Amino acid sequence: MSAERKVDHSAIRTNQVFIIGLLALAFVLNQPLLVAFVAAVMIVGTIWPDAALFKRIYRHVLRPAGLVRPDVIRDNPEPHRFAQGLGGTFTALSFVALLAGASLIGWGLAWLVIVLAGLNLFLGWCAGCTVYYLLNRLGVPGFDHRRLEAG
Amino acid sequence: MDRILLFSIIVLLLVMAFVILRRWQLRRVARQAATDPLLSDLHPDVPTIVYFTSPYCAPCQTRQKPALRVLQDDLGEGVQIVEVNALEDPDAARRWGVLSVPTTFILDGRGMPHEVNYGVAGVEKLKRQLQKVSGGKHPPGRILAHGSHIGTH
Repeated sequence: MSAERKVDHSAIRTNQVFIIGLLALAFVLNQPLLVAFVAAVMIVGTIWPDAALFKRIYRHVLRPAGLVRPDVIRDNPEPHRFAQGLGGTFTALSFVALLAGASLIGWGLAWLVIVLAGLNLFLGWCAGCTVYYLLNRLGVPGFDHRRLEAG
Repeated sequence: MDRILLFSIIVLLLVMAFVILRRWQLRRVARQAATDPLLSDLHPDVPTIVYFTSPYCAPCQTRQKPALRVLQDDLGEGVQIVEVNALEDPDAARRWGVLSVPTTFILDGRGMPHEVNYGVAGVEKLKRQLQKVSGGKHPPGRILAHGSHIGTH
């Protein structure tokens, strides 16, 4: 079963580029609605992976146009989805804080998401995946997938 | 305008924090390089790549390892590669301050670290770094001769 588990890391990286870019733009323009938009895309993409907007842009525009080459490797999709859900939750909390007038907390959370997405994009370290595998090792229900031995 | 300035300052601070962290890590490794067990069997005067990996690291197997293999094929005895399984040797990972894999360190012929790459480092990047630590003289002919060939892959 595990042999069939594949993840296109180019789709994940494209997703991160959009998240970083749009949240940075939201900060510069002081536009909480853009934060809400990013949070919505991330949360929807976590619940319905096929509806993930930034990944769809990769699949239907960037990849067919040859702008981004696929990088499909043996991996579990669940930790990446969990990481996106975690990022989406922080981004949603950021929006709520901004709406409540707590701009320091709001933009602080947005920057946290930017930094964590940046760590994954540039250094290949996925914080959310680390949390997922830690919860798996602790036997927390729902976190059923162990790290795959690379083939 | 204020927010663009603030954004630039935050990005600059993050980049600075990264650079400082990287330097601190290299200094820390340099301090204990002379006695580190990983480097005890190295040939002197040959640049070294210390490559931290783990069996669960997919990019290590699909991208980093093939890149190192190409490099080894090209440079032959002009480079030595030390592969470390960070799960089997967590002490080494701790000594070298490795938090994620793949991580590669570039050492000069005296075993002093000069560069550290977090995440996958491609063949060309590794060649440039090796050329730098060997002062552009240790196998420069081979690096340049094969550089264009590898670039076509």
